[in-house]
Amino acid sequence: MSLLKIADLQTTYALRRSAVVAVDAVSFEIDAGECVGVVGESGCGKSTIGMSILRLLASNGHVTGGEVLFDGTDLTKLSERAMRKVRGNSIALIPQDPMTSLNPVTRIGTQIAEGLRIHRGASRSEGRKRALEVLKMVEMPNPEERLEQYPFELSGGLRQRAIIAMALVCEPKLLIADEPTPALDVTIQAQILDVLDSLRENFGMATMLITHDMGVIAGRTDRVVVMYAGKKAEVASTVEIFEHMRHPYTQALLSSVPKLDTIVADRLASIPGLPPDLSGEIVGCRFAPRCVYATDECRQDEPPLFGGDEHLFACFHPVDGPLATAPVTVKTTREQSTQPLLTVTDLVKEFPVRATGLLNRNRRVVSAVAGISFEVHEGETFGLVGESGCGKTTIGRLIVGLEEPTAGTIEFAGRDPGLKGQRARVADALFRQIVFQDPYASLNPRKRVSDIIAEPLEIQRDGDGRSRLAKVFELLDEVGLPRDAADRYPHEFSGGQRQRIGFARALAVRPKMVIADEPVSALDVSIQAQILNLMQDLRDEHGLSYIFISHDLAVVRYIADRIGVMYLGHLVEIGPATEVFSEPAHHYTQGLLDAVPVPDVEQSIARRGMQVRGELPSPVNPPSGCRFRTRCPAAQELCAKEQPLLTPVEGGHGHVVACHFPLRSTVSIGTDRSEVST
Amino acid sequence: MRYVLRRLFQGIFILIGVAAITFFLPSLYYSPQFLAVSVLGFIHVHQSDYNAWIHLQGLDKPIVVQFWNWLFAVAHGNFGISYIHSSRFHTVTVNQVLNGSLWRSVWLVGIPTIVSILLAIPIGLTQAMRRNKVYDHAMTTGVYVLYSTPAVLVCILMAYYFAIVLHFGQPTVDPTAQGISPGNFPSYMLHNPSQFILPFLAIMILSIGGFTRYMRGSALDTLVQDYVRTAKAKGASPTRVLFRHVFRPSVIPLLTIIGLTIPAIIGGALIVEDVFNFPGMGVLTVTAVERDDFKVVMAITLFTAVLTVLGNLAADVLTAIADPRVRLGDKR
Repeated sequence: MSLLKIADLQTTYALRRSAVVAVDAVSFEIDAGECVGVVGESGCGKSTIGMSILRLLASNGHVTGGEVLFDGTDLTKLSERAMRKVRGNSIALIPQDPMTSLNPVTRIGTQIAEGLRIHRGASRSEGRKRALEVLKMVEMPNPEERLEQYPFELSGGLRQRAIIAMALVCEPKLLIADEPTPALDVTIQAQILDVLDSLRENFGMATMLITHDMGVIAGRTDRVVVMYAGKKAEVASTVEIFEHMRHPYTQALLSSVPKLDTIVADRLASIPGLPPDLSGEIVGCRFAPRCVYATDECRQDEPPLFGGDEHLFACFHPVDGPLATAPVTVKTTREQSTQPLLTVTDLVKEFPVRATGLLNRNRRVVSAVAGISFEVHEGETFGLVGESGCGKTTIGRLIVGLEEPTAGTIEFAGRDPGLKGQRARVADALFRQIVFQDPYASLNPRKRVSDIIAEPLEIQRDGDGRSRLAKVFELLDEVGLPRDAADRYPHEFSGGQRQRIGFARALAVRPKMVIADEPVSALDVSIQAQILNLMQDLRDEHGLSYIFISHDLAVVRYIADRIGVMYLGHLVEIGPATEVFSEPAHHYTQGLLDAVPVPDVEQSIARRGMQVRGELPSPVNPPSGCRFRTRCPAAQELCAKEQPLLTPVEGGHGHVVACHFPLRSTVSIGTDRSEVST
Repeated sequence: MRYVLRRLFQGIFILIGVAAITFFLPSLYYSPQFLAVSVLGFIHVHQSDYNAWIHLQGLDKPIVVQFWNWLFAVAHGNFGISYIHSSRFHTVTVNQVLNGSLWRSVWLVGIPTIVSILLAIPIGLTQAMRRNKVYDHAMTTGVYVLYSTPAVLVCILMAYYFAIVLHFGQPTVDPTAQGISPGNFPSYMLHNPSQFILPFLAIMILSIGGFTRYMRGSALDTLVQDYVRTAKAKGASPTRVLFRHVFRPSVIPLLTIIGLTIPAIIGGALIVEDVFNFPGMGVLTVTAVERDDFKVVMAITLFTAVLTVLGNLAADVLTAIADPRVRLGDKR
């Protein structure tokens, strides 16, 4: 008998006038010790399934049908009191966001022990002992110290470890991991997923892994449930899903993920349109409006589940296997001048840390950007990658003038260097604009889209009201939004559409360069592909240069011509995208690449445990010499003494690396050591 | 600790600033001659008498020196003389005019405020837990009725129905209470509870509404936090969730509000004091302002500033005690 059996589960959220059936007729099983992945885009109902099992739905959500059998008991029929005995005891939750899922005013040790105190009636000291035990299990560094700490004293990765420890404390039979890693950096994500894996292997806990990331699913799960718009689209073993998927949605989802290793095509396969609105009535297959294979049959009738128990899919016209990577046009080397558009020289940015006392005058600083130089050429896309806290966003903000550099210069080709102050800012705005990460927070909710897009024109005193509106229409056309969008407000648009508005605003003054700070990280993969394609189109049309800041290496690899890898305020490697990814010269780049979850089963399994260890050191007190040495497998004494300089890689095309012991041999190491002593 | 000292240090600067403003504004307005005439009168007074008085009071010195002398005296608890109450025959000091009303007001406002906070916390929390249920709506309605009724009406209705119709408490405080020294006042209140029950109740009724609304809002914010769900996912019972995970984070923002209400001790209870004839700061302030008794007004303004500084400091210290993020410095 399976451990968990969900049969015809239906969950409904009551709205003011209507109801949304968020999960409809979903059935699947999880065996003891098995790891089942539940994937889908946001709003597909995957988290709702998890919350329905635990009966922790928002107050307007109710299980309106079906049953959830856990160890033979129907959880939907249990009394609230009996249900509480299940929660945390036999089924534990690993919630999504480690930053908000811990009580900010309670010590870590107390929070971890709480489950044991509730379910086992453990004493304070027993709870503490067990908390220490589970913290060791999740490989928490300095576990004893952590017991007494508060959540805010821990980084995101460590908090997630604490949360996992919390879930383990009563040795549950089933773990529900609801998007356990997207808030974390790839290096930390890989470490956390490894911890989950080893726990499952050692303690035989079954896991339900809810995620939107096909890469996470690939290496870690036995079976996969693909959800679309509240319904099951496909259920099969993980290998089947990746290699012989039958549902067009699965196929499209997989092919819209940019990959690290395949040859880069000109355009990503994106899924057009948006998932349907579940509050209305849906006729036919839910995916039909976005499906390239859809026929009239699909639009009229809802497909039942086809296939045997081993592989179920809801489609009249199933596909077989992934989309052929057919006519791959190798990235056409676009015309790129070697004329630098932007020259950044020895850029330094330090932020003062809050002074601690009236008399304590020795200010400490966070060294966010520590002497960085690079050039961006006309029509080029320069990718900046690195973990959070490495300073990549600060560079973007410095270039657009949102921050003043502590030292160093930023020069735009052709800009009169004599301009100062406000005039310089206005002139610079014509050179570069920015698109922000969060499409929900970066548009003023009280302004109409037309006002948002026209604002840069207004600031530049460009034209009158009528000509500006004409320009707004033109820009809306360019970014693929209907013209009637001009009169609407931001909240009427989805995340992807808002990001299009962000691009229209950035392009309004026809800048030569757009700085895109994580422009797709808040979006679903299918929407992400749409935006990336749009960026390519805009670049080709206007000869734009981009600085593309991202933590997602696959995305950067897809869009960037050249890449700069940042670590703790330093650029450790710069080079052509293809070269940096295929033959990285810096140990950090290699480590980052190893940590990226790839949507490929074999590769994912082969890569386990090969990532960068540990956490980013504090930028208040960075390591001496090479800043990466504390996490580097090849670190030696020299690394602590001298900061390595960027040196050309032998046989590379403008490929430079800052490492004393690089993975590729470099040209003339140590020609000029006198400069090193910084 | 170091933080508290720093804040106190800052507070002193704020107080000196407030003192300067309250001192210089009226001093520029009233000429020494005018003050001398108002104190000494016209009859049988020569200009030489006025000049002697002005010299005696130090009003002929440069204004900065006057300010320094005043500040020095204030630091020693001497607020000077009241030019309105004084006459040729006897001087009345500001301290005599104030006569401990500050302390009586502290009792009048302090005790009911503490009681109403203690009541508002559980009411607000339970309302949030039963959001949009009958209990919540009933409480909300009740609280709004109290909150929106004019204070005068509340006081007069209370005085009439409780004291006159129900014979519960007295409609007015005995005028002799004014003569009770601040040190003996608490025991006087304890021995004559019927005199004080109604003003205390009135202050409670007037303040509980705001606290309850604030507590409810704050608890609602906490209830939707992810960590509350985490606690439920551990199998914690509703009571446990409430006490271990909702209570403390919800009360922390309330502490700031409490700190800000402390200066309301002066003036805030004006109407209550007036209706129930309570010898407090509120009535005194109004009288002083009406009669241009500016030395008294200056003293009251300074008291208000001191209470504001202390109230804010108290709120911050309490927040630091309750919230480790503030105490240990969240750098994120």
